[in-house]
Amino acid sequence: MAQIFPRWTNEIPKVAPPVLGVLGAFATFAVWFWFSPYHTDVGYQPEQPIPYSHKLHAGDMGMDCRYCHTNVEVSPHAGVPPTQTCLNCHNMVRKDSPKLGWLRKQKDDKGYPLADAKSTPWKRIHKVPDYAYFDHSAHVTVGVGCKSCHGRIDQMVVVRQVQPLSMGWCLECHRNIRHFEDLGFEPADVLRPLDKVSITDMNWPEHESYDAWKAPARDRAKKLKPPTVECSGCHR
Amino acid sequence: MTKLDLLNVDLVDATDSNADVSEGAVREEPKFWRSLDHKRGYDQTLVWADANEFPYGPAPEAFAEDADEVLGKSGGFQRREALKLMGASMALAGVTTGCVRRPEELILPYVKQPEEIIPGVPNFYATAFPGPHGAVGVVVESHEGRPTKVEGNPDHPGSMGKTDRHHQAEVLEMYDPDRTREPWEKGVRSTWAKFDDSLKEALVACPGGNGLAILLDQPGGPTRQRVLHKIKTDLPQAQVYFYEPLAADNTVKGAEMAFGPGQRVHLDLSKAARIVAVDSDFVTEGPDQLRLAAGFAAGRRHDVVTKNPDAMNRLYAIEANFSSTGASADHRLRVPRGQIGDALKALTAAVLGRRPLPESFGGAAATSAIISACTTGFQASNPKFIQALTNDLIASVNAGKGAAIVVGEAQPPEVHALGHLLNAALGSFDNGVASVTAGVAASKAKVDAFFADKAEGGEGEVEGAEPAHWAFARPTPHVGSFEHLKALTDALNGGKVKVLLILGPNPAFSAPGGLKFGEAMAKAGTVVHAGLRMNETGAAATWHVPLTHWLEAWDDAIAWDGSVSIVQPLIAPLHGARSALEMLSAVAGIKTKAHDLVKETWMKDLGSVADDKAWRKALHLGLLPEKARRDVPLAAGEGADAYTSYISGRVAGVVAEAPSKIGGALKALKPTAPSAQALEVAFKADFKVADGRYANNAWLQEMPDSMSKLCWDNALLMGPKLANDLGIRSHVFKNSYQADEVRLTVGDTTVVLPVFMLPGVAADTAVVAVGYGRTKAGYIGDNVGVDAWSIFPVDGKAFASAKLERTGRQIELCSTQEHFALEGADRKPLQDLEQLNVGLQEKRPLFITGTVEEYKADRDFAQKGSLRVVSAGKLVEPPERRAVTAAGARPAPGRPDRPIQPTDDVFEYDGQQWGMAIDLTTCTGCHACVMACQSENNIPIVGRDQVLFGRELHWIRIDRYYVGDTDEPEALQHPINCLHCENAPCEPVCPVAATVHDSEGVNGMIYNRCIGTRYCANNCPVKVRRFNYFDFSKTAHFALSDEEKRRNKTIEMQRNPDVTVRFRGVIEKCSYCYQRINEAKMKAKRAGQDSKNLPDGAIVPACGQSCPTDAIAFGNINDPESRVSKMKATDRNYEMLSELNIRPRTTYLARIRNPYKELG
Repeated sequence: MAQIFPRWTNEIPKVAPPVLGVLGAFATFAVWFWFSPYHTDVGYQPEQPIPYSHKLHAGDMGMDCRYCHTNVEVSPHAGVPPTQTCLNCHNMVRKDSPKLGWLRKQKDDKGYPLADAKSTPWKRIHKVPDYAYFDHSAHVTVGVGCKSCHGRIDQMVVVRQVQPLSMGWCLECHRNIRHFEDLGFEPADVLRPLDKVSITDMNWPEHESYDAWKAPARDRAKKLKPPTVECSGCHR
Repeated sequence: MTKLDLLNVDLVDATDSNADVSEGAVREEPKFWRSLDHKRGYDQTLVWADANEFPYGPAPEAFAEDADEVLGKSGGFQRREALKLMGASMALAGVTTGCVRRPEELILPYVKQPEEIIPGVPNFYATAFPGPHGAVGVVVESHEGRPTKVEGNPDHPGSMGKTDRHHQAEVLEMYDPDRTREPWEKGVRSTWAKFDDSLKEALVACPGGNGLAILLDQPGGPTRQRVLHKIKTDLPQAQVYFYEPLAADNTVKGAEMAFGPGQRVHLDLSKAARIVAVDSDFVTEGPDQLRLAAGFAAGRRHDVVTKNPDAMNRLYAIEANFSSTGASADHRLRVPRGQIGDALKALTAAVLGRRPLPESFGGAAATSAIISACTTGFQASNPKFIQALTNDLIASVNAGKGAAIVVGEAQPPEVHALGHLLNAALGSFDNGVASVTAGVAASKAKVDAFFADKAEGGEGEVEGAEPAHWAFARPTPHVGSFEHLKALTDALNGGKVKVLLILGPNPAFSAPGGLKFGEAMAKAGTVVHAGLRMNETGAAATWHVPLTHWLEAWDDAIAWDGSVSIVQPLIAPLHGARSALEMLSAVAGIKTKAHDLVKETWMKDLGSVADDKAWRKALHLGLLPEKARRDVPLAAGEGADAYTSYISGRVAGVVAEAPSKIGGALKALKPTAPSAQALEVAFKADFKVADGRYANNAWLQEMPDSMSKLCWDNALLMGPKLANDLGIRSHVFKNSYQADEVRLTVGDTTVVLPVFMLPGVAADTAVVAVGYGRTKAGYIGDNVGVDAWSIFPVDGKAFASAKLERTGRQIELCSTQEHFALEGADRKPLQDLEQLNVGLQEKRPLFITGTVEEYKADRDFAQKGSLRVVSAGKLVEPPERRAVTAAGARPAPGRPDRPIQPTDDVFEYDGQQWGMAIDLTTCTGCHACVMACQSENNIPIVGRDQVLFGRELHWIRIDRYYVGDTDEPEALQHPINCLHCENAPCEPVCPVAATVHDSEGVNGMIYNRCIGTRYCANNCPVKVRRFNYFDFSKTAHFALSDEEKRRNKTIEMQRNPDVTVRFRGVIEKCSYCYQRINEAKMKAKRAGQDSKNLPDGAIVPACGQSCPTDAIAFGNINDPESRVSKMKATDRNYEMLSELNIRPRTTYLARIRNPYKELG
């Protein structure tokens, strides 16, 4: 009777465990890495309807974030500026720039938005799921700067996501602040002086006052009511 | 356990459900019972229903005999189909997640941002709901221009910050997808331009208004009345009619009979120690219900009862139906509606014999006249009750305490007037319990101007300070709605009407059937109907045009007490509709926009608003800042100002004559004598859908009735004795109710409807709610229930003699009274607890109730048998039990002195801890909380088919129990939401930790973690967890049909953006309104305050916010000064299921009744 399996198949049982092991490990790594928000979400950089450059406005010209994102201190949403805000300047400044094509279509001769002007369809970049209730005001008013979550916006010509904004990532910070002494964490890295200026400072913590702030920040982190790590803090 | 007992019941024949359990049955009757069947012991089909959350099994759709039919209705899947779809979706998921990051989402900012809107922060606007009994001031929450939630306006005297169920549901009414979107001409879509031309043409054919009739729901506010006045001036022959089926006509007429045209009587029940509700359900309906309910509750609030139980007020109810007021009453007398006037006569005669009428009412002469009128041709049917009630009233009044008689709208005017006389005899007009107010008071500025003019010899208008057109719109003496409609019908039949404008009402449905308004309407040349929806009237009209909802248009409105409010729109008309004010302006030839018109009225006509700034202030407040109500003293010329003094002179004249007039009217009042053969059918506006106007409101349709617990249905309600006499066998069946169908004949009209047995309905009386059986209500309300308007008497009298015969058929009714049944309110301790010998053998019912005497004798009666007792203002374990716990090692199960769950590893909660206390003494079962919760928390409705499976999603349910005799039971209302147990049984069984506690003691439900095992619901001892069997919220847009998408478009606008909209397959439950807790914390953080130490009152959950009697308190239980702590510190505070050691955060205050000693 002829052999059904050729001889070389005898090697399979010997080779299989390490190969399967490697494959399994790779699959685990693949899911762990490529399926995580660190890979899927970070770096998201869609093209926007108006090629607005944060680098130019916030970086080079040094406009404060809150000139446009006005609600950040009072509302869960930072807010995206109305067309009117753009026109405040661009009715006079560089009004013929080809980049402002969309904007020009929305205004009349005097520079006011038309009655039937369309809302600018910005693509959403930073998003937490609908069932997670993030509140900008709660973070900004205790001294968490814009940069902590949004990165160096002042250097981005086209905005991209730099942090995964996943639950694990949120909790990292919430836990670190609670136990900064045990973890060797420096509170001044994320908590800034409540002087209304530091919050939007994009250079933090490479700031001249950083070292002076270290001790007060530790002091504040100790006194601070620990940020929530409970489900009901964000989910309702 | 009751369940175990049930197994021993000698099973009775399923078909003979009325038979008593045979002799020798082992079963002990429950003391608290949910239904007659529960009391009697369920029949064969129901042995397993008790305490079974899913009597149909976990997936009834797939196994039901009528699976196809059920599946078709509920949109469910067969198993194989489900597997196929699962496979396909997984394959698709594999493809898509690999390639697509996530769906692209847009951020669409404003073009020009309105100054007052901050995206993410809701705005609140004061406006007024123009209800059937006058305006009720409300504050409406608006998210970026979308009104989402209605709350009461604390500054408004008709609301005092509270709302009822209908106010809460009004917001859904506005977003109803069935609303008309464009004008229709004879069933064909048309345009406003064509309508305008057509109306102009039609009006030209009515020179001077000849042949023009306008039908409105009510005279409305000053602006509408001003426009009506202009119409009346320009078109003198035009006729204006008002038809509001729920109007309090008899109440108004009764007050006019006693105090003269234009006067109204207001009661302040907080000053009354004895209240007699005469056919009045004042806690849930009728004019001024919110104020009356609050006043009633004030006399039995926890601090009053705890400090001095004897100071508690006492409520007597004399009624035909078993109403919520009857359930709240300490004594209740069942009387057929036609005999209630006689009961009041007997009471009056008895009281007047001992306390004559005051001199202002004619003194001794009038007293004897009234007594003779009240004793002639009258036989007291309940002398014992009347005698005891008299003794109690007299004793109380002699002791210097107030008493109030509240007469219900169903009684004729003379009974109301008699109630006022009785109030007078009891001194209520002297001690502030009752006061007469001067009709619709004009503004102070206007009044002052009038009297200044008069002092200079000017010729004032007849009605004093009221502008002439007010008098036109509110003619005195009052003409009732049914009289108005009769007059209009006659005019139509007489061919006198060429053009009929109907702006609002739906008389083709909600009008007495005998009037045949629909047929009369067809005789008019052109009928224009403006309404929210294409209803019965709209479908029969020549033109049907969309009407605005009150949240969409400018108007003003007058409250029951005369306060004038601005009706401020929250949103532009959704479907290009026009308001009644705009339509009337068009007829009057007024070009001014509604906003300017209202402003003009307030500035010029009322003279109360001096400039723009004052106008803005009035808008902010929602009403005129000055006090509107002007009480008129009964002594002539003693008013607080010139106006009231002037009116008091007129009133005094009427009052002196009133007794003789009322006596004459009373003599003509003939009592009815119903019997089983010729029974009396009493009509009421439905608790949910009112006269039918809310039939297409899904929230209200699914809200259970306060007493019968019927939802999505109406039925003929009758007591078990009458049903037995007539051979009617209706009974509970699984989660629904099998009801015998009967043919009910009133006059020559017959309706076929099912019978629901409601213990406590008066003998030989059947009660039926109008408002159901609509044919053109819309998607929700079409063909739900049976139309009782067809047998409603033409004269508007709310009762009639009827004949009844069985059809022999049985049909299914939807009632939630057996849903989420706990193991009997009268449960005994669990058997294993008895074995554990923890000293809990005493009966611990879920609902604890006692009388004042019992409470005085044993202040701790509510603590008996409880694992934890109130000590020094906190629920703690008694020291002897603590001693065991402190001893160290955990004893083996079964060891004495141990509850089921260990107590030694209980987490000690420090800092801010949330808790709730519900006072069962003041809860009236009005269901405002149920609706408020639905509105706040995005709770979807599930529909009738799913309610029949017990799948409704309400986060609060109100269990109604009966106690006592089957014919004369007492009823208890038990609101149950999630108790937020510290030792929550739901938490350890969740395999994915989707329900966990936070450090502030809230049992959170994390929807995105939930995988739908339902173990938690299984383990919940109070059955408050709800499962989304289907995508009831319709969030899965890809799976929706075009029609569903279209419907969803407006419904979605109502959703609260601060609460997750749940998808299918997750459990949901009360979260203590966590969004409000978080918002309060964020607010504190923004202001730099301590978010972990919020002040009391910073958080008010939706249920507590709406509660008219303030029975629900919420707050920090670790703060001894908080309202909730004070309630929890009373000795009546008890935990449900204490023996399980679940340590619930929601505790109840035992209900205290205050029976009179002579009635026992």
